[in-house]
Amino acid sequence: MEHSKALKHRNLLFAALADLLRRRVRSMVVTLCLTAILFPLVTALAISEGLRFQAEIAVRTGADFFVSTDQYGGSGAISTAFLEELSALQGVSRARARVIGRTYFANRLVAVVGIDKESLFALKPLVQGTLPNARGEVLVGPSIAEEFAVEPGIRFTLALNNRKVFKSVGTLSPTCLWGSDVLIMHLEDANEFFRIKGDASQLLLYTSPKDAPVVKRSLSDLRKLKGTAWSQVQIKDRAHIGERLGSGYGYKKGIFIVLFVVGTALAISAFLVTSGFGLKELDKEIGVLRAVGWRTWEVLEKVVMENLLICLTSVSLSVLLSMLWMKGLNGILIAQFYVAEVGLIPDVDIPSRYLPSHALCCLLFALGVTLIGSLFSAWQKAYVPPSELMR
Amino acid sequence: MEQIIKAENVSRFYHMGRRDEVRAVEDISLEIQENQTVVLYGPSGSGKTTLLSLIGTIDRPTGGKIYLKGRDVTQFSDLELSRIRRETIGFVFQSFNLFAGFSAWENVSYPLVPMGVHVRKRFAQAEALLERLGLGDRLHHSPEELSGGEQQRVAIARALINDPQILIADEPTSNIDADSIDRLLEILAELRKEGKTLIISSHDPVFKRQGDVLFNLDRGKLEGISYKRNKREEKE
Repeated sequence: MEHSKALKHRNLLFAALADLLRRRVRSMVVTLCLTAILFPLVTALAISEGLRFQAEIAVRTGADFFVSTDQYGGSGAISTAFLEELSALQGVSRARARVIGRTYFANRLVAVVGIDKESLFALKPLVQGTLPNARGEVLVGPSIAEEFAVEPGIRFTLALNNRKVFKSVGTLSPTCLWGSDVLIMHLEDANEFFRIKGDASQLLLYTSPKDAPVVKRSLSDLRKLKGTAWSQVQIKDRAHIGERLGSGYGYKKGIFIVLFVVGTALAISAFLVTSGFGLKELDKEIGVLRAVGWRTWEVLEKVVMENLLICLTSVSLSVLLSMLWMKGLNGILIAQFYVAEVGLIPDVDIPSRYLPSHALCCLLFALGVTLIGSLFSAWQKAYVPPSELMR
Repeated sequence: MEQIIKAENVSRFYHMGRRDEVRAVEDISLEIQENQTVVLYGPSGSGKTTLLSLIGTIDRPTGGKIYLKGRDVTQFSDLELSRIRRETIGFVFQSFNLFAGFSAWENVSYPLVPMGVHVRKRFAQAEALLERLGLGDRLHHSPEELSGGEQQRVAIARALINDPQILIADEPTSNIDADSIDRLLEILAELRKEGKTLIISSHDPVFKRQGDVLFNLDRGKLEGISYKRNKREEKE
């Protein structure tokens, strides 16, 4: 007569644990192999989430509306003359102009960002040195500063317009990943450099959350009202940018996962062989269990629990190892899949963020890998007469 | 006495239809009564272990039927057979098949694990059985630390843990020393007194006079049946 169902499952769990400890060499080998497979996946997911989170903060703390012109389907420069009209819209707390472009610093492609004084001041916590004050003063991104030894006080020119001389006054913090290859300067300097007086790459509108729908409507009405003059104006809101950001990182994450699965196919095959190590002995034990009265599904439940325990241990070890990898080695080998122009050994701090969903994803993956081999085999054996298994 | 087991034209073949076909058991019919002690006697390769496996429901016959308390077990599902192995039959294997790395009491109580029995109760039941079999001071020793005779007693205890009606022992003297054989015979005698049905396979002459019935097997066939009072019947 059976006693308690709950106690039964608890007994099977402890029996699974006892069996793993009894066969500790095999258990350790299987756990370590699985950890080696999971660790790159955990690290990649953490880096992806860290980058996405940083970018999301930037979007969230940034402007609510981005106004530019539509040029051949992409964003084009817009006249700063629109600023006054946009600032006057109901609900708009402030409006700023921003210039973004690219040029070469020696042989390295860098981004040039021109912003107003107030926006420069907002960067103070991220700056090592001083903020640009006079015309021609710039903040230099950390990887540019490191590669070309650009210390505060150094003067330089850039391709595209070598008549304009800049002076470095400070460096962005290495934790600021987006600023790695960036030169930040006054808006007027950027205008002068790119020879786009009176224009900006984008006009940024800031509003409160409750006023955002009002501003959106006003912008739409303004477009209709202004007719031809505003026909090329392109308006994007923060949600739109955020979606693109999310899908972009999701796309990269998807590519990594595909590469990861393909790349670990061999590792998984090796793992299945390793986990099958000692299989004959396991078959015999299944036979004995059934001969002394264990039911088929009880044997299978114990097998599932053994695999679950191994997977939980492996996932925990993988997360721990990944954290050490990020802390100590800055995502070496893996970060290059996610951050453009970051080589094998990143020269900037790579952000990472660990979520419970990552651990769950890895756990499910690990269970899939382990159960493919062991559960199917155990299920087959469970229907063979016990005496055959014990032979 | 009530009939407890009946085998009807039971056969077990391996690699049927192939060149290397083996007829381990061929067309055997026998009956076992409740509380009887039955010995399957014969040389190595005579089909004793195979027949024992068929009767003990850990193997399925190729042909024929086996009845346990009037029910045809050859038609039973895996679940029903598991119930029989759990509740009605206890099996002592020739090589004991104890789990290395587990202590004696853990091995003995392992059949109780999926039955939802609490670990303290499992320990208590195992302890009682092992003490009864003279292994009270070996509870926490693993099989590797026990002698052949001690391992066998652990295997017997495991087979008895659910208090089965039928105890099956395959070649119980093959892996133990002479002193342990005497101890074994004492244990079997005690179990007989308790009313258990014992089915023992052996080629050891010591069992020729132990059973109520002796079935003589040779080359997979039943060659003769002997009863305790030396009445002999030839197989027809």
